[in-house]
Amino acid sequence: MSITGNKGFTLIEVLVAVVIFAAGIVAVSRAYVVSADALGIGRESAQALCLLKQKMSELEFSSVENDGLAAGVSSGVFEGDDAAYEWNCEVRTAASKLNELAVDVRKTGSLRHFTLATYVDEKK
Amino acid sequence: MAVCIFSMMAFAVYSVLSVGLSAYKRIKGFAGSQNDALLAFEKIERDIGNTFTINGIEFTGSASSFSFPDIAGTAGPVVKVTYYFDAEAGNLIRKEQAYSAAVKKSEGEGTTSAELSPLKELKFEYCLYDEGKEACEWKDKWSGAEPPIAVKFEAAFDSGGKTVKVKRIVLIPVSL
Repeated sequence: MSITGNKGFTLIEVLVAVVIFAAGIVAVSRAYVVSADALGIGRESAQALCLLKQKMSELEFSSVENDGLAAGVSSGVFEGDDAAYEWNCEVRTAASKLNELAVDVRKTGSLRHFTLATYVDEKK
Repeated sequence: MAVCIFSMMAFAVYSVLSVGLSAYKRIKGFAGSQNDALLAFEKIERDIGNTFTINGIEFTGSASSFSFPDIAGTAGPVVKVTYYFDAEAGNLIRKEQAYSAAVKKSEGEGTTSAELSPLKELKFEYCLYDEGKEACEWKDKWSGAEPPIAVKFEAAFDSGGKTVKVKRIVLIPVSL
């Protein structure tokens, strides 16, 4: 059996194939980086939502314990591992004996923020 | 030469797959547990908020579990719901019993479902309002026909290799 008719691939052909393959690998690797970034944003959002619900529940409880909340603005940062997140709270008059409580949570320096609002008794 | 090129390609494929697998594990780790916790706590809040007083089922609570009467359960119009922390398995379990089974104190009856796992810690506290001091005192036990003003729970779970702590205070409308 003769193999003289089988010319195989030239070095140039092999190199072109390797370059195309490498470009594909780089594209796939970049997709991982983009997904990891998106995941990080999603995680921060979930954490901000958790903290927002926590802060709102504390303020609602405080309203019950202290017979209402007085109108005003307050802000602060969360403690411990959540020190990167800050909260802003605004209590404003909505109607007679009724105040609107709005709480906003964001990661410090981030433009993405989450807000919840509810009604509480006016401080007697 | 051919062996060298083939080895490089095989190494590149292996690296990409390996990085992909580790990325998948991380994604699975933190996207799931945090969102699951948010949904589970929302469900607990709704359950506790719907409680009321009825003869035969009292609101009882400890640091790791609490029970209360609830409405519109799957076992009937009035049910006894128990949430308890299975520390060994790290699960938060919800148990629902029909009114008749709860009154008979048949602990074996009822349906259970795992609401959240894996949890590292879970602790419940109950608000006893002191009218003299006009302040709330948090107790780690509760027993009586009347539910407390609020239930506080603190949970810790693993999310992507990091321990996340969640604290929530749930007001009980029937006690306000």
